[in-house]
Amino acid sequence: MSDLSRALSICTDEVQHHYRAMGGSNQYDGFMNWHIPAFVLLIYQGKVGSDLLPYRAWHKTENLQALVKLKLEDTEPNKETLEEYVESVTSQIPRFKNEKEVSQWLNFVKEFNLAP
Amino acid sequence: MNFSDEIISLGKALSANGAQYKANELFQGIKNEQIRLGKNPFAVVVSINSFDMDGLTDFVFLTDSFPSKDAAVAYAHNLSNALLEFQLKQDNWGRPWALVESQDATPYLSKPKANCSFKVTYFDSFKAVSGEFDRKYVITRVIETDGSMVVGQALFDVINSDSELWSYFVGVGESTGGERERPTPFMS
Repeated sequence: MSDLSRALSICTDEVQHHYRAMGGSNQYDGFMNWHIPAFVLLIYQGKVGSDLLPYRAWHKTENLQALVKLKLEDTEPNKETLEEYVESVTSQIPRFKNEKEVSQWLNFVKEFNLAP
Repeated sequence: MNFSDEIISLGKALSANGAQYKANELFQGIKNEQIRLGKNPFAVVVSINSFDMDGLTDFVFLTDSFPSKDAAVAYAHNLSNALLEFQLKQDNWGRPWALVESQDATPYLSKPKANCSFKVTYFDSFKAVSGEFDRKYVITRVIETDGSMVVGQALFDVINSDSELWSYFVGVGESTGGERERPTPFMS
């Protein structure tokens, strides 16, 4: 496992913890589970505030953003690792009950530029 | 079914607002476990925090009790290794489980209540991951009692996870007639 791959996994845990623990009390209206990896990827590429996620994903999550940024900032850029991450998420998203998760995630991937 | 006042009191302490749902199974489970674990001064408890697509679910299991700390620690250590081996053999929708570093293994474990007379004297844990969303945090602890019965309010206070203990005891109670399997931490 590369440093970037390990960091992506740890960051996903942090964001998942924020949104899915404590009965989902941190979830905002319109929250979808695909927002978790999307949040990590957008921060990795320095796109905090991107409209590829709802405004509320970025609102009052400064500490979480800083934590994710800190864990990712010293990793070696690697497009293959990013592709593997996206591919892995894509294969798991259909297990979430809301059918919109898949289409919205695929739309995000289409819009998101994977170049590190 | 007749249960002692102590068993009923312990059961009510675990039931939200003293709810009567599955009260007989709960009391039976507490009674069975009080008898099984007795007054040995060391007990081994496993806590599992499991993330899957439905969110976070917590489990508690009272595995055994021992007359000496050495015996309890040896059992806990071996049990933790066996649970890890078991977990890594599980298939998660065609996806393997992998062990990751254990320094962040326990973000969901409840802290013991203040002034608890039972103490945690040994701690072992691991975190297994599968894909980006499935995580299991498995924590095996040795609890040192104050010489009283293992199953009682002090144990509830040191574990501090009433709803998970409620589920465990109900599971034990339901397994009494052999209609259901006894709860075990070896769960896929």
